[in-house]
Amino acid sequence: MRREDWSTAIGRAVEHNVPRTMSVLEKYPYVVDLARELRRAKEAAVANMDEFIDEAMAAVKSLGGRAYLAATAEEARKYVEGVVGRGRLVVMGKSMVAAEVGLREALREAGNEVWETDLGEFLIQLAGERPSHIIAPSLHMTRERAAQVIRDRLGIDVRPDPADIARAAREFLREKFIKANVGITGANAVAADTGAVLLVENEGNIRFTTVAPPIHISVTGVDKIVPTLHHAMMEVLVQAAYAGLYPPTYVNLVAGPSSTGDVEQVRVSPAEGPREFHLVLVDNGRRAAARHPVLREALLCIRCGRCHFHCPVYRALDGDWGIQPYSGPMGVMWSAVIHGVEKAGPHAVLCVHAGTCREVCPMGINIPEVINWVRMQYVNKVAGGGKR
Amino acid sequence: MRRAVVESWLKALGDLLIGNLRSTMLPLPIDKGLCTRWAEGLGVPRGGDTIIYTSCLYQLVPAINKLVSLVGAASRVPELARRAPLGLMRALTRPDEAEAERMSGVVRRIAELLRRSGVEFGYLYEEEPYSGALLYELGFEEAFKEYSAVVARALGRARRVITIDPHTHNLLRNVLPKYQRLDAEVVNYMELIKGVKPSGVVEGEAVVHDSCLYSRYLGLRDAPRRLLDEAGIARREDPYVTGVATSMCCGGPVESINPSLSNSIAAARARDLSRLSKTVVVACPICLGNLSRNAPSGVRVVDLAEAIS
Ligand code: SF4
Repeated sequence: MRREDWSTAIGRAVEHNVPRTMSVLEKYPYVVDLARELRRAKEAAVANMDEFIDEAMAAVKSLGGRAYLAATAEEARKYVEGVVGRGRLVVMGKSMVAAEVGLREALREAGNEVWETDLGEFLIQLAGERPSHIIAPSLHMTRERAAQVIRDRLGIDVRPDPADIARAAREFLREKFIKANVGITGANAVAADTGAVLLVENEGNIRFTTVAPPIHISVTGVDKIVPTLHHAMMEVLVQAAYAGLYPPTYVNLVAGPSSTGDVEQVRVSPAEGPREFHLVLVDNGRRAAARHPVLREALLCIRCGRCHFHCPVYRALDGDWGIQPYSGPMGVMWSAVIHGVEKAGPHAVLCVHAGTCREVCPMGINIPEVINWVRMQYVNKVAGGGKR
Repeated sequence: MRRAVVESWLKALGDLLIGNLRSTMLPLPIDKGLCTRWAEGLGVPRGGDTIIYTSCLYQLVPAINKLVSLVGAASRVPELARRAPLGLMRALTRPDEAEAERMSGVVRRIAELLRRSGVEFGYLYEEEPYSGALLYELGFEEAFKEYSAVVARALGRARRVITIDPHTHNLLRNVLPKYQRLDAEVVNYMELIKGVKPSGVVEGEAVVHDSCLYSRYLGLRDAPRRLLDEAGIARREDPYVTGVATSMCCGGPVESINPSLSNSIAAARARDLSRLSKTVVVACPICLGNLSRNAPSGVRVVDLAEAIS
């Protein structure tokens, strides 16, 4: 990526996103109250994580779905590979945890055709690039570059215009949705009491991914579990508002495989939607973090991506701050959760503790304090904390 | 920067800071006279119940500016920085005389503002230690813990300590109490001065560049604004440039770790501010140094204490 491209792209994004989010919160002040209530619910979920994991998995099973707890990225990949098999067509709705565990590459290597269906993810998949923002992964791409990528990789003629780029992607992906054998999504929230999975989006690709293919797999972190469906609903509303689009265009609720009771009230499965539903809950460092007095805070993050736009370091580092797919202030915390202090340290030492991220975080996470803790542990390890 | 390079630079930087702090209570090898120059001829008593605590931070800025211009090279070859004899480091960080004079001037103006507001205070002169803020902010917690005893001891005899910069104020307010007992009340000079007038340095409108620490960690976001208003200096505000959650950092805290990052943060900040006014008012020596170095031409960065009198 060229430096000027990033400056243009981040400049435009901040200009569009920051005022929009502020006006959403001003117009719908109850969302701010919901965020506070959600924080308390998530604190409870993190404090009793193992019990909530058990409860959520049992609930999914009672709905006729399957639930799997993956301790590591590798276990998550293995399980999903087992469900998908080989030579299949897989569509993916944006899942950061899928990216964290390297799912797309693994499925491709196993001989499947895999397509990202979120426009931003689709663009960076085509370009072979890395995501630069957690909910706008192609943030670094200007419209000119996005159009170029589509022309080069798909041979489709498209103008450097956001609407025309969206049209080209839609036409290409429509056929993939219809033919796909498996749909893979993430989850914004998992309700422990009911086993329901909630997904919020604006494009409609997740809705397609969750209903069109005969198998739906939701891959998400154990930190996404909240006590009840009521809280899960809160989480999607809060996430959407703090991401700057409210109301969100679609909220998808998935509670097990599709079914119908229309013939004599006998419940049979599948109906029009998938015949199989799998929930893959990924640990990968989260359960240890839940027991940690400082890192625990990171698990409250609902991935709204707002802290990025208010962070001077993220903006100056061309979006390349934190270990992929996590970036920005939340990304530095999450790098520590997943990869440990030593790998996250070189990122943490670049924090300027501006404190702007903390001001805007819906979960009230004291992000600079978490990062400072990572920095101190790291400096202590590599430079003896300055002890001689 | 590669991880190994970051790590050896951190070690070298830690050695440089800690070595100097141990021998002189200053983080860089500068002449102590630079710290106390501002007080010449003012007749400020030594010590006392109420003291002004400069932490020598304003006075260090010219040396820090020099260091930052070297860090780019030094962090790539940390061995050079580690092995460089003290005399060489001293020569390399020797401050520019005009800058040194300006910084002493800012501290002198602050002292005069306090006096004119009826605040009486003493000063520790060459016994005044640097606060150690840099150690803490860079993550050298162990070394800071040790050094913090020096600071607590030096300030321990005062009942009231007046800080003049945000890093020192934050250190005494939010950090030191975690490691040491400090009974003295800590106040900032901006909270004490009143009846101010324009100095004539700012012509027309100005824009405030907030110190992150004053604004978001210390509840002093309004203090510089109140003083500018009192002096009748018009200020430009924009909710997306000077708001609590939108006013970006000057990049200062990473200047000794990654100067190019620090400079690009500063340049972006200076650019945003310059759209509101060609005169930027800061209330922090680090902001002053960093924004001045990176301001687009035609943009002036002045300290609050230079803008009012
Ligand atoms: S840390 Fe807070 S602001 Fe940043 S993505 Fe997470 S919830 Fe949003």
